[in-house]
Amino acid sequence: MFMRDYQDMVFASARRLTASDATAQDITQDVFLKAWEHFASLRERVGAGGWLKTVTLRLSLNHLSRYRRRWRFFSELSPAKGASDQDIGDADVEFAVSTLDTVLAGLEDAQRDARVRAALSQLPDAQRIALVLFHYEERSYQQIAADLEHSLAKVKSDILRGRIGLARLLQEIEHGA
Amino acid sequence: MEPDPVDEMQAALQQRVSRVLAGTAQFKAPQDIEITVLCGIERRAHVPWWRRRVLEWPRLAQLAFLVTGIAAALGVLLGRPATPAALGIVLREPAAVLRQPAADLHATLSVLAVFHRVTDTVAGSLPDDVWYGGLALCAAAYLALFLLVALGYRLLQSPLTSR
Repeated sequence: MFMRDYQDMVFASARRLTASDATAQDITQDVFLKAWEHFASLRERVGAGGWLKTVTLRLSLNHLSRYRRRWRFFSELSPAKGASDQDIGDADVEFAVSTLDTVLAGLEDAQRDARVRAALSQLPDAQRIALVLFHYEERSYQQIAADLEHSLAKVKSDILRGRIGLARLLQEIEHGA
Repeated sequence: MEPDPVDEMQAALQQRVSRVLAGTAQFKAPQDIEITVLCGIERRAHVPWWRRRVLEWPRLAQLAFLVTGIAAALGVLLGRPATPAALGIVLREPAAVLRQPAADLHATLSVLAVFHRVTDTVAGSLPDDVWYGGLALCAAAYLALFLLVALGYRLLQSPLTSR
């Protein structure tokens, strides 16, 4: 019963962050195994959902940072991409706003969900993670910077790029449909 | 003070993205996730205590592990690794609860002691030049392999930056 109440929330958080069904399933399993270890205190606690959410975020970010560390040496030999917004112009932001106003209009719910999920999954990890933490998990810029051990400027840049990237990808998906 | 149009546009973008994402249905956990978790819990419940993390061991076993570890470390540091014969004295009268893990430990230490004797003999009989040459060769091979993988990865692009 306890698990049925929270399994969708846990799975959804892990899935959005990792963009992988298999990884999200593994993380969900780990979260509930941890919950089982602490079940005596957790059952009494009012904020069990908050505890589960925190553990899910921590395990997901641990998974992603292990992966990132493994590849960082090879992938970030050049200066960090996204460290500056100089190549993002006002026109890009305007384009994203107008695209998001129209690109999903008139679609059925299932179709719209599929497109948004596909676009999110295609964003680079750094942008998707920051975007998900900000918009779904309601973390502040400062909290995200601390969670990801990035500078505040990089987090803001990744989120802005992620928003514009999301609009671009939704448009590409629309054109490809 | 006039509001900054760039900030306004970015705020509008934030609002649009929030709306788009909030309008998306939540992912549903797969139906078999409950069974998977219950199986995991079942498996974990049946794992014998000596195969769990040391922190989950019984207090007595933790103490024995600590004492054995310190003794083994001291033995190695003093140049006399814990031998099966020396450990045998300790194993003659173990508490019943420790018998199985102690036997496993005994077997592991036996293998390590043999390995230690063999490497000690081989190492002692090799001239220094062979040692240094071997080490240099290993370092060069490692470096070459590392550079090859790095080059391949850069050419094929990182999965994190290519999307």
